[in-house]
Amino acid sequence: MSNRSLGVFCCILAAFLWFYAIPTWVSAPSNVSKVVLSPTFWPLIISVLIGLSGAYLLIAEAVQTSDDGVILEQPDSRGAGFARLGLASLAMLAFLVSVETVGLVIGSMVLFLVIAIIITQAISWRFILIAICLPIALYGFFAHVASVAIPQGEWIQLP
Amino acid sequence: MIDNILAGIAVVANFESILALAGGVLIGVIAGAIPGMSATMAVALTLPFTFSLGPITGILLLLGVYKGGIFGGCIPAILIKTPGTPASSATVLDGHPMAEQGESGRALGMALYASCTADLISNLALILFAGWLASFALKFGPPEFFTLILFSLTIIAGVSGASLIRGVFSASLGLLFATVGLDLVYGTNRFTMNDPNLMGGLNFIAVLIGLFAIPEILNMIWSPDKNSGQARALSSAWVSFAEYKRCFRSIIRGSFIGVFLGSIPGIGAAPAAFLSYSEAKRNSPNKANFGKGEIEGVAASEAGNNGVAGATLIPLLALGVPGDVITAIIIGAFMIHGLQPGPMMFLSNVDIIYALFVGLILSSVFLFGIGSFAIRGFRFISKIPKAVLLPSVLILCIYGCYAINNTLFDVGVMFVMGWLGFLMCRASIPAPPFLIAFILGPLFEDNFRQAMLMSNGDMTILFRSPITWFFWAVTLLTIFAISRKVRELENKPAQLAEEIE
Repeated sequence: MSNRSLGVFCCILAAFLWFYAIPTWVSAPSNVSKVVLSPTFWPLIISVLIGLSGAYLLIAEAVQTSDDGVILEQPDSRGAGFARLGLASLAMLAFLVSVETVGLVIGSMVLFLVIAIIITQAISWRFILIAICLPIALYGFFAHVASVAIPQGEWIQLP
Repeated sequence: MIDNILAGIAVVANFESILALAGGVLIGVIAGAIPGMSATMAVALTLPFTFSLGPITGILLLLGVYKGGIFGGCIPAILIKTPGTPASSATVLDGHPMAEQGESGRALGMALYASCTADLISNLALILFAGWLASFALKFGPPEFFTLILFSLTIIAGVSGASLIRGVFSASLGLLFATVGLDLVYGTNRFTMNDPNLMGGLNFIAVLIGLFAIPEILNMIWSPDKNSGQARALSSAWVSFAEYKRCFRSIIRGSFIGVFLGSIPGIGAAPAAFLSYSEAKRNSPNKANFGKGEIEGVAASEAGNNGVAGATLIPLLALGVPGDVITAIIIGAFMIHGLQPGPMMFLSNVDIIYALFVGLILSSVFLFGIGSFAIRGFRFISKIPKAVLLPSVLILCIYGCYAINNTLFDVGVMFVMGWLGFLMCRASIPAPPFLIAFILGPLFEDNFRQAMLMSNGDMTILFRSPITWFFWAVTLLTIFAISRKVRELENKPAQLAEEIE
């Protein structure tokens, strides 16, 4: 991301925090004697800091030609990259929504397989084996050694 | 002190603690040796496994991972020219040319000897200086802590990478996310949207796992990697005692450089390794051979980065502020077990402090033994494909995050932070300043407001004692040094252009 884009983003974020987010989502009692003790004081300072960072980035962009943004590796096809990310985000969302029904163990197995397939665009016995063994091993450790109540779901009850 | 050391030995001298330490070193070496994993990620992923352990055992496990991870990074640096951790970048300079000349065994052997020597020196420095610093810190009140944390926030300059201002923005986001939850003084809602899950604030471990592990997986999904390099075969030639003796001066010098830089919050292991390397090159009779496969170069860089490992615990244990990102994560382990690192811990939990000291000394011994085996086993470790490794890391993250509070809300926070970390990575915004600010933010605000309550809003309390003056002075000096550095970096392209013309 170029300095200019990031600078504009910072300024918009600072304005959003100052004018909307802090007044709406930060409650302050009306009887605060000193402004420095108000619950809104610290978030306001942070929004100023973000705004100043944005202003600095914009000024830096205006006075110099170099950019601090590093060019990172790109996929062969950006469309395919976005499609993979979209699928991964859907898989994570579906995992969160369904885990109480299917259980953490089965949910993790499916998520492992989906992510592995998204990365390699292939399926192998190795993936299936690890997808089954790893969540069961982790279930064994957390449920029986660490005494964590792992959600079992409605379908299968593991010992 | 002898009594305290004996008490520490009594606490550590049990099978569980020894196993945790040895296991931690092994996990760390393996994680450090896998390109794509890092010591930071390994410590973050191991953290949830310490919940069921006792405080000493859990913290020793993490310290083992930390020490092992820093050493493990040198193995792929030498064999496949890919540093396992940023701290091993300097090791590539001479380590890989040695491997290309068929001397990988000597390079790895020297890396191991230098690492263990530096690690031991660093641990001894910790034992000598942490207690002294903590007894001094007992005189601190909220204004002193406020100025100390203000100084500690200058760590951000050290972990911001190429752009300081992007680091400042990242830290601002960290401070902002740290304000989520109930207000510390009035108990009113701040950015909670009336959701009870948010009233306690965002879980620290969910945030750190999300920021450091998930973006690696998303980066892999965005652009599936090709093979990073060809591993060199491990030669049978091993480093001799005469070679170790020849490099001993550079190892000691590098260890002290590591200790000095490690005890200053925010410098980190990579600059220590490069400084140690350049000093060794400046003073060596073989300086012409540096960069072409000089064993002294490997010794110096490994001594520099491992010298940092014990020293970063000095500010953590004595002052309660992290020396780097990994010690910031280790603070989480202290908190989980109801311990607050800092000067008071030297009074209330002195047995734990000395048990950690004893454990750290032992970790140098384990590092030597386990490191020797790991060098030989690297070929198997390097063959784990990322397509298997990263989904496995994701599943580990999910279980670890769920186990913190037995709630899926934390898993959701982890995913959200993971996507935020990925977007930050794509936008060249460094994640470490976010984490440092997220940890120090509440302490900073809390001490500021306590000081204001004490003085009824009078700001002069922040300058009330020589300690506060000292921290104001070092903070201003650091800011001055950083701004000079930034100006130098900004002028470099112009100078280069002039030179080309």
